[in-house]
Amino acid sequence: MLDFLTEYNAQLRRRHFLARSGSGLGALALGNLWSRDVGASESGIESFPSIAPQARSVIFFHMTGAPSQLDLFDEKPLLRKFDRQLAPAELFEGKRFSFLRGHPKLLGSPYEFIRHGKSGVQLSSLLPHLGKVADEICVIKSMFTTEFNHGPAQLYMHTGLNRQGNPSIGSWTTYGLGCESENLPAYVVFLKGATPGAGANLWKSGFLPSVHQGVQLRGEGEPVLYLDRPEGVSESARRRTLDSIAALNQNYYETVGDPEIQTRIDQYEMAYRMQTSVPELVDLSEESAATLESYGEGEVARQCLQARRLVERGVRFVELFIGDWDTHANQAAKLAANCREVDQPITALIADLKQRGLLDQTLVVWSAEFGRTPMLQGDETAAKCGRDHQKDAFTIWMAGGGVKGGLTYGSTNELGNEVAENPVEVRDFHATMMHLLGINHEKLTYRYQGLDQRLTGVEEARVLRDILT
Amino acid sequence: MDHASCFFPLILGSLASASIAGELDFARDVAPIFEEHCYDCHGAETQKGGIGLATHYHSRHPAESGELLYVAGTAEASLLIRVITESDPEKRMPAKGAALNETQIATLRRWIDTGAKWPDDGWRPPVHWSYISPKKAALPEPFLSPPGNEVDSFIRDRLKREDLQPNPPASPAQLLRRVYLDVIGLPPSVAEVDQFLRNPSPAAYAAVVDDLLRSPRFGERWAVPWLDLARYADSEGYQRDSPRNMWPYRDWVITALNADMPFDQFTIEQLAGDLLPNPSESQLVATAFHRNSALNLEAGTDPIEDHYKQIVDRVNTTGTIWLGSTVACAQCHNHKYDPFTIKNYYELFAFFNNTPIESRQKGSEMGMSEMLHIGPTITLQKNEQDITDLATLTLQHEAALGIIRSTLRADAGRMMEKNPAALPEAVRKIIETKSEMSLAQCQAVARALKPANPAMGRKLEEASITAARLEALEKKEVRVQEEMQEIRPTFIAKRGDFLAPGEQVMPATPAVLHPFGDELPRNRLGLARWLVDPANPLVARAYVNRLWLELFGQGLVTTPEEFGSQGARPSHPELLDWLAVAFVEEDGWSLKKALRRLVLSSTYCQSIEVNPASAAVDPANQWLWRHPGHRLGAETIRDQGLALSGLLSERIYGTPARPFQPEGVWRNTAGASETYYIPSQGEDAYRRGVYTLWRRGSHYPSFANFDAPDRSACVVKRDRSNTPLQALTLLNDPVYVEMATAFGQRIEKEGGNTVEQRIEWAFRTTLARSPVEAERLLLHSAFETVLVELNSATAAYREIATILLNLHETITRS
Repeated sequence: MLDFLTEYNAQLRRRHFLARSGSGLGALALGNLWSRDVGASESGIESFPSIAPQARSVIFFHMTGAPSQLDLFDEKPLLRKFDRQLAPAELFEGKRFSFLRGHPKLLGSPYEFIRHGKSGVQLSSLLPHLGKVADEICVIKSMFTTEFNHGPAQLYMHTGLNRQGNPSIGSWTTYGLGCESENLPAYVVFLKGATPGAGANLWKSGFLPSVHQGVQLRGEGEPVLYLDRPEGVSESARRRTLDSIAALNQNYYETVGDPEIQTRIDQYEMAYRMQTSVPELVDLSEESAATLESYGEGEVARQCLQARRLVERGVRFVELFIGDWDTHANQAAKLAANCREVDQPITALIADLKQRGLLDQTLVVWSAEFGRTPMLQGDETAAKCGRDHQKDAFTIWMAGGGVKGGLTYGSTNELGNEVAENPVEVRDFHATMMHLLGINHEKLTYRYQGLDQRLTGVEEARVLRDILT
Repeated sequence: MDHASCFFPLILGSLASASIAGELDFARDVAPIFEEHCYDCHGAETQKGGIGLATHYHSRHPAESGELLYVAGTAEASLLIRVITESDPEKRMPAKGAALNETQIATLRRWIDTGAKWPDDGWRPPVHWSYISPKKAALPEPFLSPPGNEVDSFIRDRLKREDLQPNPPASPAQLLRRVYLDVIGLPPSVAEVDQFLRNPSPAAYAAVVDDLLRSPRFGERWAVPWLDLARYADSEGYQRDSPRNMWPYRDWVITALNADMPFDQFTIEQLAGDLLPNPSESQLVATAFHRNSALNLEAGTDPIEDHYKQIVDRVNTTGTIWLGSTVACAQCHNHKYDPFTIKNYYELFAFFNNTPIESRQKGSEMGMSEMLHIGPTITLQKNEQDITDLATLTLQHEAALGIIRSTLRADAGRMMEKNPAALPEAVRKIIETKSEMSLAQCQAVARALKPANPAMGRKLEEASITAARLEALEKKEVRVQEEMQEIRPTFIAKRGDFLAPGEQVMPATPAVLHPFGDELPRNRLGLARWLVDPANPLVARAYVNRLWLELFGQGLVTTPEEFGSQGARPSHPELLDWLAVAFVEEDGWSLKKALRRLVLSSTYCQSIEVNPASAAVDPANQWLWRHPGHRLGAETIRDQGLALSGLLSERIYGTPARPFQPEGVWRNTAGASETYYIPSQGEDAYRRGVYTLWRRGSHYPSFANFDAPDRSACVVKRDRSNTPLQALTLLNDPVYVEMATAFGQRIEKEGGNTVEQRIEWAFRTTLARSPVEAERLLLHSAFETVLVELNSATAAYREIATILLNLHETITRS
């Protein structure tokens, strides 16, 4: 950890020097994300990390559409007991739902819940693999949010605001901590299946400089948009063209002296390096057969493995959006299929990180925009029934990066419609993530609209000290 | 004008005029020190130790120790002076941050000694500079006219005080390119450069500027920053992000700017055109301005809640544009720093709250079906261009349908032969009927045949997208504002929660600003007139500051979205106010006149070279000793490339264009009605960027790479990043590759008879100036290398084109 801090301080000094030596570029060019000068350069805020950081990188899974916590993590025997009976009035009266109307019935979970590992973390039979790393994960059963529609809730979960326009948590992270990779973007996004309703706003930089937005690694076509050379242009021809551009830019710099020109020259070189580093990153042929086998088949497996390769290469924030978990109907089949797709690769990722000694410094998060109701929606048959959106209680989990493994934090009431103990608001979750990265969420600010804006907004947010190692 | 009494704020940390001469002014000289250094602990919200400085009242209240903060006339004995001059840093104030400098201490001493006067004795908070009406100061410096004007007087005065020299003028060729790109967003041709070089006099330059201001390209260029403010887009936003028909509004903006509609009228028509007597069609279209708010059509949305969010967006956007103020804070609580209360916020809200709900659930209540837009629209007269578009698109659609029909018939025929029972009765009937299948029938047949032809799914989806576009074009609707007959009551939403209504409020404007005239109606029209009342201290300042930002890359107030006490103080306050007053009084709210003044200034015309001596004093170029030479905007970079390569379409107005973008980009948006991006054919692929389809969930990727906002919310200031993605875009985006190829061909064909001539022509076409010897040699050697290697002059000229399109100078103002 000492090396990391020493290196980081050197980086800050360099940034400070650049700012003072004054090229006049200000934050725009200093926010050159892919060199090391990124970061909180504009607001005159303190340097980060300011708390001893646990995590250097984040791998953030967002389960788009919201999986049913009641069928995966949060067992409710009472709900099973009153399965398909009319719900008590306090569950729905005066509450707002997307679709439930009238007098809904309760829906018990048909799945068996099993205790795993030394810690006895409870998971449903839909997640058999995850049980193998149960002692690494911290399950938070007492999350709640303010929004019950996908778009606003996803925005709130990612930006702390229920409308568009604020930076995502990944952007805040790279703004605060910069990137350690010389050849890759600091913030990388994967999409799988139905993409989230709030779209690219979930990985955009809002009012932060746009260098902090997430770069999507695409599964089809070029992995990064416009990465590939035009057809018929050889590697050597491209090098020659770049040399000509650099020479002319250098010549112009010598006349004009604007340091922004130097930055431009550097960025063209970075673009050239990316044409090698990105294909190298996505090429999994060097991975051992055992590793490949452990992750399994399919797009999520490939993305999980690439996520590990990204954090190994110093990328700060990797986000994987995986959908669609929005089970208003036909929940049984949909949930089972989704779990099959993610269970093995995510488990393998945690085990792989652990084995490589990376888990301690990598925070892995499983999240969603909200949870699902204990009340049944639609057709009552086991195959066709579903659950509506629920904002008042849902489950997420975290692993690695300074989080206590094998811990279950918070609980919900007997029917699972409300938090019973240790409530965790979205901004508490954000504050905790920032803390693990060595950032005091109240100090990481950006001056916009005359205010020192921050991820956690103006209301109080608390770091969940109980879940820290 | 009496210089001493004019508005002349003190710049913190600089030599204070106040301590040297003239009478102290509380708002100008004293309040800024309190704001900057004391308010965190002794402001309106908190009064540590019982000490407050936000209001006269608080400042006179004894501290917890019982001592008074100051006694007028006796600075040395006053607690305030004691704590700021304390030698022990532990005890010194401010507790956080550096000690006050000598100038500031002297100012406070003098303020107490001369009576510790507050702006009034009514115990009200001190007034922040931007809430006081701007006044024209006397010009501090003489200026040469032409080429200079009043702008230079203020800039030169400041440079002199900072001991800085302004740069010499830019070369005529570079100046011409700069002013073309700024005024019309397109580069000058070699012929236009040559003509100017024959007589590059100030008069000839002014004549060029006047020509450019008359060009229809002007409106296309200047619509872009306004459309960022107006958050104009062609999709709804949020989950569904489905297409919406708003482009007639975009065309209204271009038309209004070309006609130089005065900004007061421009404001009134957009905010309240529908409330004008006998509004014209154009005045109704203008009201689409506030219908640009995002609309959540995700299934299960509460239409009333979404309506509340839309009005919040309208209030915030209005505050940002016309008051230069972030009123948004007051949505949930009293503004912590500025005199806006939550009540003020909902009183503004009440002006906008009287429009109909804009969405409803489709079908039954229990259904999972989508939401529909039901807000007010008007149907517009189709013009010739619309009719042509309609005909072209119909032809394309019919051709696509023809292929679909014949493929389906063939596939179904094979199926009938093999296994007729596999096809449902209804489908067999469709096929057996001779008449042409409708799109719906094609879809039914394809469903029955599904495993047979997977490519058909894509074709059908594209056909249905085109069908929807045809329907939209046929209808030619645009969303407008409409006032309801019955007033919808407005309540303060406690903590910003619309489900927690508090006190009912009526439409009103914040008391800290100019009064709302008795003659004005308490509706959007009255509000619009109030906003452009010349007594509004903010509107013209915010406007000219945004204009300055466009031309100089940074506003005179560097927080153009915030003129309140938390915003930056102006770098040149007298200039800002002079420009604001001139904009209203001399220019009559004319953008063209205000813009003309700025581009004719010597400050604008100076060169961009970095003079090391000046850079050592003012590295950020805050005092404008050089033209900043900042990067061009996303649309201008593409427009310029299209112009250089001869591909640019000159077609003005009309439905959104869909230039080529890679496959799969639109998958970013889920639950939306359009998954596939169908690129425009022919000329439409090469229209100016202002016409490019703007989808909020996934806007045009090369624009996004050059910092164009997605237009989900009002944006005053675009970022100006410098990233490898920009390099990748210019090098590899097929659109730019095509431009390079076409530009290469142009160079070969139009550039002259020799390689030297052609390289010279290509360079001058791109950058207006002639290459220097080193540049000539570099390009020539690049040409020779490719020529030898590929034995193709065409390839070698394409290489020259690629290099030129990628230069830093090409994508910046030179």
